[in-house]
Amino acid sequence: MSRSTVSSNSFLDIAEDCCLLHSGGEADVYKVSVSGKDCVLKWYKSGCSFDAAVLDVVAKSRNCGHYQLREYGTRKGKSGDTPYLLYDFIEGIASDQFQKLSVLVALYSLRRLVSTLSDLRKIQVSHGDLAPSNIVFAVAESKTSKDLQPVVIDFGIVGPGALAYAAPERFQGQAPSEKSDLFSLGLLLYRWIAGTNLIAAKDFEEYAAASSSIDCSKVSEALYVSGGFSAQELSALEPLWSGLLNADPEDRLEDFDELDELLEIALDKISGGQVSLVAQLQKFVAQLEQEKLGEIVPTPEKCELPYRLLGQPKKLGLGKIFVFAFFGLILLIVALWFAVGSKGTDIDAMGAMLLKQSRSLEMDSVGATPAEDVPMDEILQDLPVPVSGN
Amino acid sequence: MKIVLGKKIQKNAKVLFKAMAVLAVACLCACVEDDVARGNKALRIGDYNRAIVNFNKALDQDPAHRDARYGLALSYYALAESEERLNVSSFDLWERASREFDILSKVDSSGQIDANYSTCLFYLARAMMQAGNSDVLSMLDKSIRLDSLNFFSYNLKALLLAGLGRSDDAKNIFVYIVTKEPKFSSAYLNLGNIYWGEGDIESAWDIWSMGHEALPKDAALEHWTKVAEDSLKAKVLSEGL
Repeated sequence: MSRSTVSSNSFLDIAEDCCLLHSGGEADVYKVSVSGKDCVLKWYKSGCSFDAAVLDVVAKSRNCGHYQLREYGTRKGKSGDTPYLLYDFIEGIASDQFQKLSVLVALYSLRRLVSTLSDLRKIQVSHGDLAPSNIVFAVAESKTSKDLQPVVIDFGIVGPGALAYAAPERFQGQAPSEKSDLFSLGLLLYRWIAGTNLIAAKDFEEYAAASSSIDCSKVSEALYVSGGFSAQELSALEPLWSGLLNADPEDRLEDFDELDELLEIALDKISGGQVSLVAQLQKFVAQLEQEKLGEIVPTPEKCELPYRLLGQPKKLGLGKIFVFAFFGLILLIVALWFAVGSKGTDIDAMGAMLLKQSRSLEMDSVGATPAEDVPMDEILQDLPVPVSGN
Repeated sequence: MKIVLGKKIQKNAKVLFKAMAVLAVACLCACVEDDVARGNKALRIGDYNRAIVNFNKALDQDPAHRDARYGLALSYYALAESEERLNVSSFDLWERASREFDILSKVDSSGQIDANYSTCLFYLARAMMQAGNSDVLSMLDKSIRLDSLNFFSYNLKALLLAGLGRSDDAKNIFVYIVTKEPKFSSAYLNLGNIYWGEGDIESAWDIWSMGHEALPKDAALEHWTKVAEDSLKAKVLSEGL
């Protein structure tokens, strides 16, 4: 794994077989192949980014409950320098793709998820954007069995994250914390089992207001009204709502460990024993494997990489080509004008001509200079004195 | 749609700005070259003062422009030479030309300008000598270093040495000149003159007659060969009496 701001030695330069998986408000998500291994490229949109300090820590963790980062940084794309993440492709289905989960599967998944978040908390990492689309249900295979493994993706969110799952303090600009993640987990659990969001609003202000005025005592009532839940299930879930869905962080559970205990108790209440639990989970895993084969998510079509590979010539738009051609033509004319226009004005030829002229002039005038006043021999005193040239 | 269009315009504006910058540089170069071409044209037709103005304009924009500097040096050179022909004191102009050649030598070390620079130094040395300053030996040596075929500088140096009483050194230089350039009449005249001054009429006649043989149309050599011949005859007659 490496953080990259320069394109040299980047996995991106050996990426191929690009397919667009999802185009969202925050980023476009591509599936690419890097050295034969499938990876996910999250290519952020203008104005969106991530907290690199969080990713620095997550990248070092090898917990199988979260994505495995390969590379992240910024890269020049079509709209300038663009933040990106590259992580190993997760064979699974995002939890938002399921209409509803059974209470048992939901509680079990949440417990596994809490275990991962608890481990990350020990290294000072809080997720900050726990939403159904950021939890991928994968299948963990061992020699003897297959198990459901929820995998968390998209750490290091900048901003409150998905508004329908954000804790009240996150709307006030506070950094993600264990307490805010606990609140989000409560809303996530509700979405999993009810199939709808507990908080529904139009805009940021409405979401913020709804989040800060949430009443945990009315959650069971809402579930009861929606139907499909037994009294046993509603009773098992009640302590979870009252421990998680409180506007004031102080009123929430202490930490993930406490939530884990509550989840264990709830599971005991509704599972009807270990055998029944395993049977239900195996049924879900089988369904998951079937859907993973493409029944829910169609095979995406191949597309171009959102950036230019190192050494690949830059493609010019028609407008640019026209502008370059126009000014190139002008420059060519200027160059030609110099080449033709300056012909015959060679200063060296002028210098050579002047030199030749002055030296021949000197030759002609050597005898014309005044005579030297030289002492004459007595016998030759009456003779004329010769002219000396210089 | 408006935003997309705005971005496209912004991108094209950047490209346009870069192209304009390139064009601006090209135009600046064009202006300099234009001044140089105008200066050269003026120099060729003998409009030396206009040539000086144009070369100076070019140098204001690019002081290290080789052709502009060479043109300016040549303009002063040609102007000084034309003043010489009118017997007007040209010391200042030669000094100016020499200064320009000196600057030029820092820009152009190809040796292409050396012959002109050498001749300029010869003229400057001669103008200085005419103004009564005979401390020009080092200047003439530099002139000879720049162009070893500049026999005018050799000739002037030998005259200077003869004037300083170093007749043998002077004779050697004159002999060197006539050996290398047998058509250089001044060297014959000056060498013969030294012998004449020393009373060695025979040697003087030898040199002048040699020069007259090499340059039969040179009136001065013809005249002084005849004078020496007559002197020798007179001397023989006087010795016989």
